[in-house]
Amino acid sequence: MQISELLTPVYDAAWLPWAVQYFFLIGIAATTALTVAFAAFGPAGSPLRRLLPAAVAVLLVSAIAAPVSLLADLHQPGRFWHFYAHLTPWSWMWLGALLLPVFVGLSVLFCAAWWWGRIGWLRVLAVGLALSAASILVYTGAEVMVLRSRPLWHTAFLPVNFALTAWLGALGAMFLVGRWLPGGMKALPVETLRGLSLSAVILMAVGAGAWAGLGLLGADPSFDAALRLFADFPIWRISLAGAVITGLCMIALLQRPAQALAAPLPSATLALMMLGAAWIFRWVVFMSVQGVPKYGAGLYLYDMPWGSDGLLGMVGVLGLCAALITAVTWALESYPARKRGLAG
Amino acid sequence: MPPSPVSSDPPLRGKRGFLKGLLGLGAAATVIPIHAEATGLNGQPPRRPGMAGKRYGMVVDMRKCIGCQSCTVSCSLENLPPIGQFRTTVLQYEVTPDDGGPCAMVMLPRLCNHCDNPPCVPVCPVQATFQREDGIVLVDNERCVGCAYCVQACPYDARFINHDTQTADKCTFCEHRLEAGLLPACVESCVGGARVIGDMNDPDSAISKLLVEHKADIKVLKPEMKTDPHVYYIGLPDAFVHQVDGQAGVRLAGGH
Repeated sequence: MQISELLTPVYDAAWLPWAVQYFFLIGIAATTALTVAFAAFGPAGSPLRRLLPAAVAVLLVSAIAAPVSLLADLHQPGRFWHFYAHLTPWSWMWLGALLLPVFVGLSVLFCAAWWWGRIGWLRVLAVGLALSAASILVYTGAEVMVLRSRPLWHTAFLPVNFALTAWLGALGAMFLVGRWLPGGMKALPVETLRGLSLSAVILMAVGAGAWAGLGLLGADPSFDAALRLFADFPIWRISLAGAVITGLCMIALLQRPAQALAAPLPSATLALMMLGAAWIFRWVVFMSVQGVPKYGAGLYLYDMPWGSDGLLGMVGVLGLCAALITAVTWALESYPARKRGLAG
Repeated sequence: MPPSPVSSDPPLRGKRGFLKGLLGLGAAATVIPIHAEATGLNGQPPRRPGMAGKRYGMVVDMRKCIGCQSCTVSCSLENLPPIGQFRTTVLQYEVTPDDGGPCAMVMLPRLCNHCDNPPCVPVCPVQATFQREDGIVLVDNERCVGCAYCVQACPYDARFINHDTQTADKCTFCEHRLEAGLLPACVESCVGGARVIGDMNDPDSAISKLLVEHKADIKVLKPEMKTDPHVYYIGLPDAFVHQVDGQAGVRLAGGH
């Protein structure tokens, strides 16, 4: 039996590109928070501690910019206070509305403690920040994973992949901002960053392998849904090929010695590739998957608006991040921690 | 959409309601992510009062649907969704049998299924979408924050973000008409009498009788989603129960 659609409506993507930006930034913020919380306990002068300036800058920028994107993703942003007026503990999104301000607050406090060079406060805050970051990773993953209406999202691998790609993006962001901080790339512990990045890529490969393995054993229906897309639609095959090629390029670049990676061009290439991979993963998960009909055949076309619901919004977030990076680098030029030797 | 008279949040009645409310409050105060079952029915938050003693459902007899879209038009006139957005519509398909026989047309009226286990309700972070005791699932669009979580959660694409109100919108079974003793606009205007709405708790209602009479041929959409839809189809081909596997229609971009 052959079925042809004659008259079917097209459904809009209800989650806007703002959602991509939010999940990109909050993932980077949460995984950076876990990294800095770990680094805070490193001995003075260790490579981990030397990672702190770049990591703290990334944490501050992403933790401040993320809630802005989230607010913009609401179609009624002025009603955000309704979250706090109607207690709904059975909704992950409502739990997120409680967890997010705590995380942002702790992130800012952590950055402030580091800026003032208070190692004692820093370590106390690091514990709270790590727990809060974990809660963010759990809620952002679970929020999407619980939607059984979309088999591609309804898998335990989604939160895992969100977290791992976010960590990759976070390390890429550190590679990127390092050059604008006092001391430039020379101050950045590139060898440590290289090792962490390789770990992230390997963990992602293991995650993808486990997903495919379980899928082939019939234990994960999301894999079947993905296979169907790869089989039926060239655009999804191109995406898959692009992901594999990007992964291989990243591994190849990460094989280079730390000294070579610290050079401006290779480090920028690697940083943009890692950030791009994390961002495109979210674009595919949110925008491309929303183009997969829940009932109908084929794919829906996504026609990105040029205004604040689309391109302008995304460029605006980039601009916000650029402005925040400028402010952070300016603040770091004269930060007290430098004098106390906390950064090094 | 004018605010519905039933869309406010009345206090839960009785001792049981009080205890449920207390449990929900306690959980909220301690930020324990208790499962929704603890606070309500079917893994759902407590239902709000509706038309007492009733459970509304709809039977769609596809043998009688000619795809004239008068339901689509009358719904749009009654409920005034923005141009290009629909609370109900009739999907149309051409079906060619493998044996080369003549083509057939399939007309599939679609609307909110008013599920007994609606996945759209528990996800709502502000309880703007809720189910009434008579089964009708509604949206309080003055409370809705437009997060579109419910739109994602619905397996039937029955919900959308209304371009005018920027809040979630969906079929209400025309509850404002039902309360006035009228039929929903789509039922009233259906030229073939393909849509039958009624109280499933009443064994003598037309819908109850149809469900008994056609018991062997009653199907719902996507039963594997375990949503227990309360829109029942007579004459729904098996190929249309789950996601349609076929040739997509022409889709034009630029709908903004």
